[in-house]
Amino acid sequence: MISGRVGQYLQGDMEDSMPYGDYEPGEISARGEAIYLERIFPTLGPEESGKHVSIDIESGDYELDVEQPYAMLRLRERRPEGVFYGVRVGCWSPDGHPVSGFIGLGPRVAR
Amino acid sequence: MIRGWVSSEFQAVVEITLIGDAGPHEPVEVVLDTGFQGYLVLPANVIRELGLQYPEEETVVLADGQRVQLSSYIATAVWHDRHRLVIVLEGESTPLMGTFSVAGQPGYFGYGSRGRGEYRGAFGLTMMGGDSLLWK
Repeated sequence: MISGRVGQYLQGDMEDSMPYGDYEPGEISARGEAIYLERIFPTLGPEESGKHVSIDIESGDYELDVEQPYAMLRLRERRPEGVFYGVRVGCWSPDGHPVSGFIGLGPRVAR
Repeated sequence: MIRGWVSSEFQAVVEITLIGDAGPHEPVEVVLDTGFQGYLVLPANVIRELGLQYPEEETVVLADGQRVQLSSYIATAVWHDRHRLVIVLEGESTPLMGTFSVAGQPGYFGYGSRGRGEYRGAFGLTMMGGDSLLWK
């Protein structure tokens, strides 16, 4: 697993704008994935497939929308200080983790 | 119609203008990647220049199956002379435009080239505007 910008924040690259500085690399995705799998995914029906879920990993609050920007904006309105993690319903990595999408045509799985 | 070009590496390239919290950014060249289920991938320096804030962390899968954590931001794109919301993923790859950028806009694209080398063939996206919810 490669850490993205959040990881760079933690390494002090952009200390002036460290929105998620309280988290270790990989912690946001681990917590977000756990919330999604335990609390959100079991409640979703097939009609939600393909929608984006934005999750505030601190409160567990979430928003669902077919268009990702609107899910993020609505949740940010309610949780301005939230720490967000996002996945797309029905989108899984080859090794079985929920993910938000694919860059490039790699192996896919159905679930 | 959005006009682009085919690069010497046979990539379909268009310029896109983005607006962030810091205002409009100079046009960025992006490669249309039909294997990318998303909007845009741009490097960190462009995201900083745009002044984008409040990232959401996401996990995406690359072509080799590797899971990668990236930060995503909301920006406004100038698209068909209108403004629409897009998601920008931060990544140090070639700047990419994915299929979500053209979803909901019925149309076609033409892809012409006269051979390898320096020649830049024509590439154009013709879309009807569609009914995307993201138009502002």
